[in-house]
Amino acid sequence: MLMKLENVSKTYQMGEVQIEALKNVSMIVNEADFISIMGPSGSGKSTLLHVLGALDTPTAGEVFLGEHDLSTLKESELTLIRRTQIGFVFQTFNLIPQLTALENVELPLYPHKIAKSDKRKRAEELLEKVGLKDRMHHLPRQMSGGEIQRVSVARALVNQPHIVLADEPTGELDSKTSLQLFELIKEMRDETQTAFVIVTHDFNLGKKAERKFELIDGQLKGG
Amino acid sequence: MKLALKTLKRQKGRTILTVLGITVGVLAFVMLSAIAGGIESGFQQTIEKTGAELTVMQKGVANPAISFIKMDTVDEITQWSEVWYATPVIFTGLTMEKVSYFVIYGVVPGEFLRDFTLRSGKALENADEFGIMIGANLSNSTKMDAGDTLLIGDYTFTIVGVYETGNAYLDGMSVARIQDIQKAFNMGDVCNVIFVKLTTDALDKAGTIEARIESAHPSLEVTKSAELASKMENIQTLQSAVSTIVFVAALIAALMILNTMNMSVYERTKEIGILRAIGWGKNHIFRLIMSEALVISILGGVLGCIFGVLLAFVLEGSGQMPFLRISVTPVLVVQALVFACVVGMLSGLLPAVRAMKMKPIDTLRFD
Repeated sequence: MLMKLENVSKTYQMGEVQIEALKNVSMIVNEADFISIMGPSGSGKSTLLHVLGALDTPTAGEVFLGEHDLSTLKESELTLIRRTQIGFVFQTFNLIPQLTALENVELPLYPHKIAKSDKRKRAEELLEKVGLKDRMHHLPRQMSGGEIQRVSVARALVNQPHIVLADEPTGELDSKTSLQLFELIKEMRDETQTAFVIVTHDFNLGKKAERKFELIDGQLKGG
Repeated sequence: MKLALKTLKRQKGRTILTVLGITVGVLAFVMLSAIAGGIESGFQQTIEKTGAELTVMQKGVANPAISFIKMDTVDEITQWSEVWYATPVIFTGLTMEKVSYFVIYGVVPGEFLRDFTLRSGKALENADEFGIMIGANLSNSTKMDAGDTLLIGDYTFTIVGVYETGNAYLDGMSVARIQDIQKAFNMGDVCNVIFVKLTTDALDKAGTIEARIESAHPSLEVTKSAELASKMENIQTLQSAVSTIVFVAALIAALMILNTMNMSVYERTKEIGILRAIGWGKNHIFRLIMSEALVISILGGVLGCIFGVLLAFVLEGSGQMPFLRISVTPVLVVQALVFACVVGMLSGLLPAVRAMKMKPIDTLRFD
């Protein structure tokens, strides 16, 4: 068992209205899982992903990553967890536009105390694995949406995390490219034994995952 | 650091504008300091040129031009055995076409003009009634030469010669007999300062002489010539005017960096959020924004130094202010660069702290 959520709730105060984004959510993520979380927009998917990714802490409940209860950690400790144990894939515009593919993949390693040449080597290897050996020195605007997301997957894996969280990674891709990205993620999972949790509103894609959850009005079903 | 540089490159237009802002600030600093320093050292050299150890002025006046000493005092001091000579000087000036202002010294020719090299005409002598000698720079910018005449007050002065000393301040001014200047400016039998040259034997008695003059004439103040320029209040006023202008320039430069960095941080909210999400700590974000501010200010500092020095020399060469002599020292350049860096650091601080305090979760929701 890699991660465990126990009765996690999250409420936001939006002006005078209280919004319950997550209601008593419990789930387990195992090593090398390939999980999809589906649901319409506004169902709390992103909130769940942020809680899993140590970006946000729940209002109630517990979030375990290994030994750590994330709900009790300080921001600086959460940063350290994200730096060493978690990878992120966001939507297409999440690369830094002024940096090349290679530099973008190296970014998560900036705070790590590793030799520069090792950082470069690791990033190059990953870009090769995601099939972008020839595109390493291209800027994001010189690449297609599918290529950008493959760079994002490489970036998410460069710090050798236990878990990669993807927030609508195919949100701006056509269905064929989306499918290819899913295949790539699965390959990378097989090779690195990293768990992937993918949030998507696309049911056709979501059902290709090995474990499928559905989030409706903050309540999690399935698994 | 690489990201900082590339970000500045991406926001090229804005970066250039901000760099120019710093450039102007540093330029003002370098140019004004160079001019003020030049005026101070030019004046100091002029005094040293007279060779006098002591300078006598009216007590408490800010400017030698408004210090008035009776000419009797000169005769009195001259009679002391320790004194080689005491020479009275009047500092005044005139505006005319082609030069914004030129300085005229009323002097006793023989003593004052000892080291002056003649370029044309002849040296001014005691017998040359309403004669005037002008410096080479003044001659160049006004195209006046020996034989030309010059109207000062109600009197027509004839240029007897043009001298050259190599000191821009001296070469940008003119010298006439003190009694003629008294008439031309309706001054009566007074001078502005007395330069006192001691005999070789009495050189170590400067302090005693100083005390003796001050006790005999309580309304006078004696300064060692070497300290005169830095003590003079109008030069101090000039320096403080320069400081004020520089302070305002620094403030404007700082606000420009602040504004640029603030805008940049605001626009890159999402980018900062992503960096935080993938494990960058607050300190890394802080360093990123600070290094951007620093790069901008160092670039501006270097450009400002270059253009400031160039502009100061152009101004000197234009002949508009013939008494101007530029003094650019390595210290001044280092000061300017440190100044730019400090301004950059201080004004980068606020945006950097703001970026650092952004919560990754809030910034990611920013769409």
